[in-house]
Amino acid sequence: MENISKPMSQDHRHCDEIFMDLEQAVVRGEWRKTETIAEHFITAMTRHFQVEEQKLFPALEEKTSQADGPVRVMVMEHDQMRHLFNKLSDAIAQQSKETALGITETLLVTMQQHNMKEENILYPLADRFVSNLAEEIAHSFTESA
Amino acid sequence: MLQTAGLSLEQAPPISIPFKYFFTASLLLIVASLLLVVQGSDLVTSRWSPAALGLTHLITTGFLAQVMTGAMMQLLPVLAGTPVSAVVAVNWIIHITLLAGTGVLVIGFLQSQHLMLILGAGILTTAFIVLFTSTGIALLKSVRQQSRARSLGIGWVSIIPTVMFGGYLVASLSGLIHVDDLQPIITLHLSWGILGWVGIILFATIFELVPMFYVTPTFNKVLKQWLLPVVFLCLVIFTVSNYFLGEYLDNSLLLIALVFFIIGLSVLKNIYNRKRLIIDTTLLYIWTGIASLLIATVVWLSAGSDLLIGGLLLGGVCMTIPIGIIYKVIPFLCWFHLQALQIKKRKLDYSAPSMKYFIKEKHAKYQYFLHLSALCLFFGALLISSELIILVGVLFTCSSLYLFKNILYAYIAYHEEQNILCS
Repeated sequence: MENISKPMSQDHRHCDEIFMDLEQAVVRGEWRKTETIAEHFITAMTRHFQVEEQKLFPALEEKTSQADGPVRVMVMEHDQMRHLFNKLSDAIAQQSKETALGITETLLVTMQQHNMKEENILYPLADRFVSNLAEEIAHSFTESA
Repeated sequence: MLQTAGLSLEQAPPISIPFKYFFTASLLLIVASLLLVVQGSDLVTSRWSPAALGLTHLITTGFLAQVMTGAMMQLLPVLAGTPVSAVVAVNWIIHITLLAGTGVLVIGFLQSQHLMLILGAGILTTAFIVLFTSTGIALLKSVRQQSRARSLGIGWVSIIPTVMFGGYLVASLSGLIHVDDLQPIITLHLSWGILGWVGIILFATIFELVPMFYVTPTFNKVLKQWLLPVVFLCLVIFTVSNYFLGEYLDNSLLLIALVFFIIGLSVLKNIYNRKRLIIDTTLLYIWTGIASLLIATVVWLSAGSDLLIGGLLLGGVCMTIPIGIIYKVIPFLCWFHLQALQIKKRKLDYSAPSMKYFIKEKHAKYQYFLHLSALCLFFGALLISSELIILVGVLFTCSSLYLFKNILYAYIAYHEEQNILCS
């Protein structure tokens, strides 16, 4: 049976892979390549956030119905990451290696601890309570891949 | 309706709590290093000298307990989704009792004051009871009783026999009870403390943090879920056989050495296969810690010097890996709390500095080289000349002061940014 954890976690790994290429390009000072990968990375992350914020979280919130709950914290962390994407794009445009690497370091830890909370807590909850969404969610990743 | 009472993914607790633990940890490391300067020669002559016992407890119940409690309070919400209830009050009690208990116990050792030993052991026991109860309740409230939290759980359970055998030793040293041969009790206390409590918690934490910080593949499931419980089981067998089946005693401890050797190798292999190629200073700390663990197990399995094994485990592993963890955790928490505050205050024009601003890479690296020099010289002192031990103490003091300074600068930088946000 399809579950929600698997495609969501797989997409985390997919975004991680692009992030690694991006950071490595910054280290090497390959700015043209960095710009292309950054665009690809931000698109992939934005798609992931959209699936969560438009499909998964509303359904889950309906079940938990706690305004102050875990979903709110996850959305707040999405906003923090969006803010970092903007700062990263600026640093890349200015070709400032030190600033860009400071941002990638921050972004990496933010992403990883965020993923850990989702994979440990939120997705298993989703598997239990909104499993009817599994097929639709898996489809939304394959569709736009 | 789904019941998620108590489920919170907030980055609890407040930032003042980890700072308090990490500050105290670095201060205790300075005290331990100064003790090495003042009484280092006693330490090399006997591992049971008052100075050696004082130093060991400054590092374990002092430095390590503070770092591990601070890190545990951060990890619980991420791993189990349940922070500790009344987190500020509970941590205030744990922090004070851990600090006071260690201080009084160490003075008891150094001055051979029986009353101080009893008092110190009593206060420390209180600290561990509060810590154990509060984190235990948080884990039980967890929606998902995780296998991930299992190893951390058994690590903290190992504190019970450690404290019990420690209490037995204190009672005996203070003349409250009479024991003919203290050696088996000392071995049990030491084994549960270093291999059980410290070893299990440290590596359960590494299993979680290494894939997260360095983007490595996840650890082998069998290894991650079962090797640390095997260590625990071996300690139980070792304890039981100590009373009933003496001849199996050594074998179960040797098996633990082998398990830690396998764990050390797998951590190295995992880091080698990491996707993130950047080598930052925290990685140097982890590598040094694991290398020390591997050398310690080889020396142990080949029946080498106890003092060398102790030095490798306490200095090389227990003092090194937690510093690496501190250098990752503090900058992240500073950044994260500022971001959360920014959102709360709706200050859209504010932009928090990145993690590297709070602890500069070059400062973490300078401290690493001081720490590594101290470690190398320490092993030189054990193998070549014990007279070097004072210099080792001086180097460790410089290294610990540098750690304290780095934490302090991060704290000041955080508050400056917080003031900008709140102005």
